[in-house]
Amino acid sequence: MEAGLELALKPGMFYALAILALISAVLVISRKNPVHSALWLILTFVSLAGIYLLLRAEFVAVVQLLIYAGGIMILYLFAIMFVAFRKEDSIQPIYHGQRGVAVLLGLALFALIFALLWTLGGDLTQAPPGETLGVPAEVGGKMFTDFLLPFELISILLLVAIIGAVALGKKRLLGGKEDFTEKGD
Amino acid sequence: MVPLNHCLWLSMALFAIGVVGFLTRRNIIVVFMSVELMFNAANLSLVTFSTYLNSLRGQIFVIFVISVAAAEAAVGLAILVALYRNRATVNTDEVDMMKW
Repeated sequence: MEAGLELALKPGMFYALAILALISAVLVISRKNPVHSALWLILTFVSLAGIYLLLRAEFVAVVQLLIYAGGIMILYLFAIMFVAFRKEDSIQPIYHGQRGVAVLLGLALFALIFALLWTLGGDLTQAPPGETLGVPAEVGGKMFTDFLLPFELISILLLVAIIGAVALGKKRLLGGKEDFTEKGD
Repeated sequence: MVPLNHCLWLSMALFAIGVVGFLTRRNIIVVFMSVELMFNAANLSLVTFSTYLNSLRGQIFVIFVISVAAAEAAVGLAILVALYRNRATVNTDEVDMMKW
């Protein structure tokens, strides 16, 4: 019960981080310059990491900061630097009324899940978390016992992704025989 | 104590924002970023339920999701760079060679 109260002491912090995450998420999808989008996305990730900390998921919060805000976003920024684009193209809709329809669909999705949660109701505020729920020792213990096979499989997935990324990033695809990579130059 | 529903509302809102970005943006990189937003919304749901059920399974799952997202970002951005080399564009409407 004590651990649950710890989150209770900081609802203000939760709502501040939630509003920060929402505002920066809206800015991600509305900025013209993709570099600005990427920087706002980093802010979204950082505020979500703060929320994870409040939810007693310490290890996940650190992983979020290291892998997402650090690694993946650096990859995105590099990709943005590699390609050239016209900024005004980035925000301009392809179809007439596309933006309105998209916002309507987003609101419809929100309303749908909201209604689902509403009908479920129930006392979803119960069961305060344990004292040491998400600390690295607990997560590591669980991961190397119950989830050992998925953990090993994910390493193979990452290896395949690395090889795939290197193969795709090479100058010539298909061993240079069918040389369609040079066409754009 | 922050009710579970408020965490889920935040997650839903982030997911909806990601969907809107996915549907409106023309730049493939920003479309990828919208997908990352949706990943994070799902992760937030998983962490929330993990905390409120006092079980670690959700958090372990989130770590796997982050690994898959890292793999997706690496391969996706490599495809993007290869695509840019071929077509000199990153606009979704101009990449239509697989369109029938």
